Amino acid sequence: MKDNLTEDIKSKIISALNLQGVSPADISDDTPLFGDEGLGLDSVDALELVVMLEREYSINVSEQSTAKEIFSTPASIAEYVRKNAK
Amino acid sequence: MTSERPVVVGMGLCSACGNDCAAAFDALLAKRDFLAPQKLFDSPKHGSRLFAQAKGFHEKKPYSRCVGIMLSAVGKALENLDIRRFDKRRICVFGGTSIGGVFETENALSKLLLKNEEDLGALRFYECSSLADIAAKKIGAKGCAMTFSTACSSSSLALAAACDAISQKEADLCLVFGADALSRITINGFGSLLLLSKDKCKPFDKDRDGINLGEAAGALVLASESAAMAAGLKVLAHVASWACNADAYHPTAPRPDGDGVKSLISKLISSHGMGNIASIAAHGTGTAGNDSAEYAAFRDAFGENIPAYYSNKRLFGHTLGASGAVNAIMGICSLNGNILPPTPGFSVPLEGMDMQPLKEPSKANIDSVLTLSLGFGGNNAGTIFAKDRSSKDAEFFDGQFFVHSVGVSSPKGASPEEIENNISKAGPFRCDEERNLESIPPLKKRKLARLQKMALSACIKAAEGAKGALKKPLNTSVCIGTGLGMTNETAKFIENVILNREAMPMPTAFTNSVHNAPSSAAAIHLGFRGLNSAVTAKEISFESALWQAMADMRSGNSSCAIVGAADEYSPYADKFLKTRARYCRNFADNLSEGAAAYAISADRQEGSIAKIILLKLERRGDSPKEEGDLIERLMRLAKVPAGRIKCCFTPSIVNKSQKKFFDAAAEKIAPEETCCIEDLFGKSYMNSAYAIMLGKLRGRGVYALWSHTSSNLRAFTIFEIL
Repeated sequence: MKDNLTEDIKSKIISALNLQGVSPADISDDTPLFGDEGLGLDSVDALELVVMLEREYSINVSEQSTAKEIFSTPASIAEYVRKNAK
Repeated sequence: MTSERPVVVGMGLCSACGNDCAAAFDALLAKRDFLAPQKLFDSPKHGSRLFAQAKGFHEKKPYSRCVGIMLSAVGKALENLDIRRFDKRRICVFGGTSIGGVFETENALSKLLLKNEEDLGALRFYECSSLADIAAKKIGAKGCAMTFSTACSSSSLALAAACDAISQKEADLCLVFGADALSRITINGFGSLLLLSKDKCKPFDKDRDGINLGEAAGALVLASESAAMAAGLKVLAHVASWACNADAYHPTAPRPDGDGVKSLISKLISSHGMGNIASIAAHGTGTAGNDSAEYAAFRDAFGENIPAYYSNKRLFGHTLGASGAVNAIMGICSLNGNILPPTPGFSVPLEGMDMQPLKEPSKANIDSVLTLSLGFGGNNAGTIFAKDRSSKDAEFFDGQFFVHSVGVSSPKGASPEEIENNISKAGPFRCDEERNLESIPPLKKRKLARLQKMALSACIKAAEGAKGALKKPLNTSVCIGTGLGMTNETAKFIENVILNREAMPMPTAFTNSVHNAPSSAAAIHLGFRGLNSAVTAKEISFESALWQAMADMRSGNSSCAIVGAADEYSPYADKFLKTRARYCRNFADNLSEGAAAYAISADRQEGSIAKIILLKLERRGDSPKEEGDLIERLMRLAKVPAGRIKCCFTPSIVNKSQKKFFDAAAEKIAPEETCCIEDLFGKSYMNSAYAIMLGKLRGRGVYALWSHTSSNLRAFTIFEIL
């Protein structure tokens, strides 16, 4: 069964980053968000995702170094949200 | 033709350590810092951050804080110089700023959004071009005046332009400055990029965690060596070489391998051709990305012999558009004092760093120093200052330039043919910014804002049409003039900061808010890695970009260029202009937008569409009669007899007084017809960029373009449609 939180995060990524023409179904749980292999997002996208987490889940990410790990795949974001949700 | 040699004859600084260059240099040697929380405005999110706030200046009404800081530095730079001996028409002003007086604009928006109090007049501070205008008026300069706004490299581009103007005999004396004040947009913008240090910055340190923003203005007075000698001025340093290029890699991040900076350094050294570089005043911001890329560039450019290098950011903070001028001034102090400065804040080297920055100051015999500044969009610029004149003469190209192709994105269409069909119809005044971008996949353009799309559309068409003329992407520059830059992204970001009390920032809007966002987007898309510039000079922004691109090609820094101008409609600009409506004819009823770009080089191609015969930017005559005389002289200089001109274009005529000046000029130009571009396209600062295309639509012949700004600068262009 699909994990609801991960699916929710996928659609929030799409809207936060204006990923026109991409649907949640196009992204698997472990699609790398950055680099040429996956969605090809860049460092500014990562920062938009920081704001998205704050807005949608009230979670703060203030260090650029940890951001890299958290945002590696939709599943890793979901895991971080689960651990840190208030 | 043999170049004149630019020399530095004056320096002034206003920063966190006051407004004395020598005292600031001593503070750098003593590794002092002045970092403290800012008290300019309430900052719920960044209240604990440390900044380097400027002191030693007067906040003079009706100027912005930024102008106050700038005038303090300029005053110091000219303190002991008698410039009355110089021909005022041969004194030019080149300013650099990232955000100009945006702080005052923010205050006005804050009042408007939170208290519904209108202070729309304060929106004028947003216009970066006012910096060069105010400085030019203050010192009585009557040569060209323009302001570069390429984020953190702004004042280094200004310095390069001044060196071009002097070496190419356009000017005898140039005032160069960079100035930036603190603002909500920069604090929250860099905050949104997680680039603000939690404490004090640690340039080149393994544990660096970001920047401290600072405020400063640095001013340099440059003269030609012969003019300086004739006037008996003391030479502080010779400018041995200068260069600018672009990474064309990412809107904010530098190339991680530092390749753009490496080729910049190689270019600087090869045209320098004398002695060893004793030290590098590095950009050294203290961010993860900058410092490692910059060090990689040093290693690749110098191999095992990296010169002593240092960063002054702990002392001054990152002063954005001013940082290039500040670096230059510190570099010259080190040259003349024979002291290599330390890097305050540095203690633990980066991994794999063989050559560490200096920890303590040390005495040395210094012949020449390299100073660098690297900005958003991979916008790189550098200068080498030397104690002695070089033994060999440099040359510059004094031939003609050809226009090979045109690209447009206008309310009346996105190609010359389409525009021709719609030109006589009334309106509309808005562009469809998606035109000509159909072939770019949505994911690739998802982050581009409207003005970037309009400019990119024009640049792509110009590049496509140029065919073989742009065959060297590494040496192709992109110079886009703009009156107002990315107004809507800037407004969106500031509104959000004010209304959300700094929560939920908008990183993409911030990276898109810089004036060079359109030129960066074009360079990244087209892979053009020469000079990348955004120049602002109100109605003559296009001509200023054209001037800069041609000067850069004359000096050999680039071999071909995409030159254009772009401005977009903005509701705030509309509101602001309506406050001025009583002074001017039909102001703001027809506020428009658009972009136009041309491919230009010195090689005539089979399909070249135009030849630039003359381009002169200066203060217009004090009276209509004097303006007529100036134009008559320029016509003679261009060897164009009166009556040869088919049409004289002008971007807009805003009032009766300006009409008198235009009439006086037109009398000497004696064109078959005159054409006010505003009547065709509506009102936009980029209107003059349409002129060459409009000439092409009219057919072969010689055309003129007479453009005038509200600050009484004038550009006069003569071109021939082939």
